[in-house]
Amino acid sequence: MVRTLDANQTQKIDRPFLQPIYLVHLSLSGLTLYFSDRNLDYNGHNYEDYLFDLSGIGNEIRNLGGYDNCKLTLRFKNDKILAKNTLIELFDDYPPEKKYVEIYKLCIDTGETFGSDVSTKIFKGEMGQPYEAYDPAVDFKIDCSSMLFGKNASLPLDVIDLADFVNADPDDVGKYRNILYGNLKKVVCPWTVAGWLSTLTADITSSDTTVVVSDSNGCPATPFTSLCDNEEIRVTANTKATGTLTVTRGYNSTTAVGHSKGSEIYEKRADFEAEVAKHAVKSIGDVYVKRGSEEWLRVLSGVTKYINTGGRAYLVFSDKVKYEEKTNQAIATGSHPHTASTPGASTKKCIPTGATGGATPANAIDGDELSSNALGGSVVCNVTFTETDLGTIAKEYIWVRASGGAVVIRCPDGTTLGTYNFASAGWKRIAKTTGMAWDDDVSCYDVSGFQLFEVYKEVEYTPTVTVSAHAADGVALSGNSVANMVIGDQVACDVEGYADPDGNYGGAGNLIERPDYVRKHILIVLLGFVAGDIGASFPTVGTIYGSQISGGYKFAFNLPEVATEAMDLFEKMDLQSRSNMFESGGLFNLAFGSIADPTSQKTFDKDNIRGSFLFGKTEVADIRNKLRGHYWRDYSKSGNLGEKYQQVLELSNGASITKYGTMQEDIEFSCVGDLALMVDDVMDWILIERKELKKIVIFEAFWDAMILEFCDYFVVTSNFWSGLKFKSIKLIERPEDQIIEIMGLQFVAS
Amino acid sequence: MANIKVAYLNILGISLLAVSSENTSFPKYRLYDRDIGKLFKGTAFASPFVIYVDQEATTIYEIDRLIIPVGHNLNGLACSLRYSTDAFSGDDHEAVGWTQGDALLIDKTFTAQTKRYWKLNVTAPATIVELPEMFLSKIYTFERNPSYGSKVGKKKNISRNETQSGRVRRIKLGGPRLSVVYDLLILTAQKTSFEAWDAATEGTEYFYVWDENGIPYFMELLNDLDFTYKANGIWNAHLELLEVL
Repeated sequence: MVRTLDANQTQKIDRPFLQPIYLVHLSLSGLTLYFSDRNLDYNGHNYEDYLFDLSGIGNEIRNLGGYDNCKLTLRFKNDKILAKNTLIELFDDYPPEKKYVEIYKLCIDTGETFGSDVSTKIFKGEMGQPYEAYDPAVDFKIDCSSMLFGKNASLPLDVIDLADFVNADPDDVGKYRNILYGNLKKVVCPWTVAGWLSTLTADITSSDTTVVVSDSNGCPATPFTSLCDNEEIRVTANTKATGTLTVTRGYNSTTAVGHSKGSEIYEKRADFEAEVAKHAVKSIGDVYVKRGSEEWLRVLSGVTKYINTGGRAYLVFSDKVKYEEKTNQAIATGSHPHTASTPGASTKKCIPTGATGGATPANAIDGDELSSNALGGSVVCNVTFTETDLGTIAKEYIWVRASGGAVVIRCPDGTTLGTYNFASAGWKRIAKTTGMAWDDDVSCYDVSGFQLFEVYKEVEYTPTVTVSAHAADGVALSGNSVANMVIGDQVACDVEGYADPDGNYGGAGNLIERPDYVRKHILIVLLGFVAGDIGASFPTVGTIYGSQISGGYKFAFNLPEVATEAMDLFEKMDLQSRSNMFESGGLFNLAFGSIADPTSQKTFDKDNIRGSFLFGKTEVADIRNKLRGHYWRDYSKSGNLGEKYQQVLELSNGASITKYGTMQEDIEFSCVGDLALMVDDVMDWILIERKELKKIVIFEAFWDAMILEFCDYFVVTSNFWSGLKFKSIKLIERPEDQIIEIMGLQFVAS
Repeated sequence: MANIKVAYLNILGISLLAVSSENTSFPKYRLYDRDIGKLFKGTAFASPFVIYVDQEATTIYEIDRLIIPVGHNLNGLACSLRYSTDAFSGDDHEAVGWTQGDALLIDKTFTAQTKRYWKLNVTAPATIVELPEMFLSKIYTFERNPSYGSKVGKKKNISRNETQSGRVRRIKLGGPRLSVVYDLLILTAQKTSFEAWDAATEGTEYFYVWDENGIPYFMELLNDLDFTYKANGIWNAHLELLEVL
């Protein structure tokens, strides 16, 4: 839409003479200067004569998305100002670099008191450094750039580094932290707390107490507990120079086992953390892990999701990460009876594990029937058993081989089982019917002394049957079985990115995904612009986005994966939403690529242009009649478009191919998720724009044409090609003679 | 017709200057920077608001004219210009006093005084005092007015363009300025005065000129001032003057 002016200003440009005044506001740190090329009071400010002139104010856009810098040069009078002898010395104290300049234009009538007239803001941008300052002091120049160009390198990108994340996974150090918009699938989350991890440089046995690892520099302070396979290994000392760890094996009741060279050994923690985004997000959905090059596996347990803690979103794993592996197995009804048959009785010979009392008590339990333990008078030999409970004991027999007289056999509590006479060396079996236990002990005693050769127990028992847990009969399994994951593998999650914090981006709490809201959020929240910098065309085009396809246009992307510079980012967003963002009148504005016949805002002919129309055509090399759109980014993959994107859509135009031959191009929809309708709609438009040559017109018009905005349409009345409609893609205003240079690109209906 | 007059020396530029208060964004040097429109402003109400001038002891100039151009806010205020020989400790005289009746240029004449100390008193200002310039000077009156070939006119600041079909488009880049070309036949004494004027301004400083009708203009000398000897002690002087906005 054309620029709207105050009624008074509209009247003053609609005639053959003009009296413009340019008003320049320099917003320095702690000081605002109001300059013009004359001294005047207006709108509460004293504008002072420190400005010689302005160069042309203009910009250029590319038809299919693209955003170029606007360059404007201010030439200042290097006069005395404030306490400084020259303006350029004042700029030493109040540097203009990277500070905003705003330029207003006020058209007045001769002799009028114009205090009530409303000036029009025609530019806002950043100032550069002063240059061409001659001595003696006369003048100097400062170039100004567009607002976005000034912020081109100001996207708040951040990487995982060890300064901020001391326990980050070394594999993830240096990776960009996620900045997420829209509804995304399987966004890879770098490990921000992974702890120390290394690998064994050699096989180790279950009894080794030193372990050499490939790198122990990142180890926590000793002692700490590590994990290798399922064995916990306590590290008590660390010789970093050699990577040698002194360890206690089988820590925390785990079993010490051998491990192979190359096995991962890592710090045991309860707070493994993977960052979803460097900002709060709307929600976190399913979590996935990836092992090596295998497919993603969904994590079912052991993870806590934080969508906004400390201004970040992240996942915390309480232990080793579990993942599920889809097996799609089914168990037929009745195939598992899930009953256990009653086992028969069993007999177990129990060998004693210890003996005390007598000259050589070990001889009583060494399994050698010929070696004996000589017991003196009143000496007791206690024989102990350590047995695992295998079931219910039915009978228990105590077998004793001895010689030399009567022997009293007792229970450990002193209960006498009986007195047995061993006149000569031989075996006796004593039945025990009460107080039977797998680990009950036996004591042998005689006041006169005898030789005790051997003792053992024999137990008759009914074994205990253990029935493993099982699925209920008739339930079909299709899904996931649990297995362990190795720390350091990739973690991903489904996530909804930024949510509207204040109702300015689609509704408080809503997901920010409509392209105009995404742009606005980036401009304000990420780049530091203010709401007043956003033009009214944003919501207008936003309404078009919302109704262009079923469900509306939506963006979904991880910003650092799309671009690392602001202008590049917006250029890509423009192309992928058939739009142009541009700066006009000190505001960011949006235009949507029209297919329907657009309204012409102005007609140009010999009565309102200076000089001649200059016609041409677009270059034949720019024709495209076969397009492949790659969309739905897989963030875990890199490589060519086919590898990085999960879907592709191909469109072509037969008539154009017949006319020009196949001229194809691959288009990367890095800002679009899996929204095939949107990709199709945008590619339709691109094909219409590029399948045929288009005419171009260049000319100069006067101040009344300065209301044209980028992407406004106009009609040219000329001696040939007359009546064509063009879209404005280049506008340069020249203040000295109030001429505007216009370049137009022909509109062709679909 | 009156003789043409010139005021080219502003003693504020060569004196110690003190003011009741000063807004650092609108400093007091602007009272003599010969850039009309760049305002001096005070910061506080004071009654009277005083602009105090000390010529110091070395050279004390004779003064007989006060000019304050458009842009001041003295309308309705009682003002007086005073002089002294002892920094107003005992010697205090009024050169001229008046109540300002409009926002137009203030041009006050008074009996010439060769005094070291001067001050402008503004009584009971209701708003912060603002002055674009304060020109305190001695008038030099031409002994002879232009005798032949002089030109007076307005120099317009217009850019002209045409459409392809010949329709005119004009841009008024700035207001018209008085342009004067004087050719004078002068005697040696006036030549000497002109040379003093030229030496004081050095082609860089603007000055006030009162034309034959007594109307003041702030002007610049465009040409290099030189003199052509005619005969009998008579010189021809050529002056090209352009109004400064």
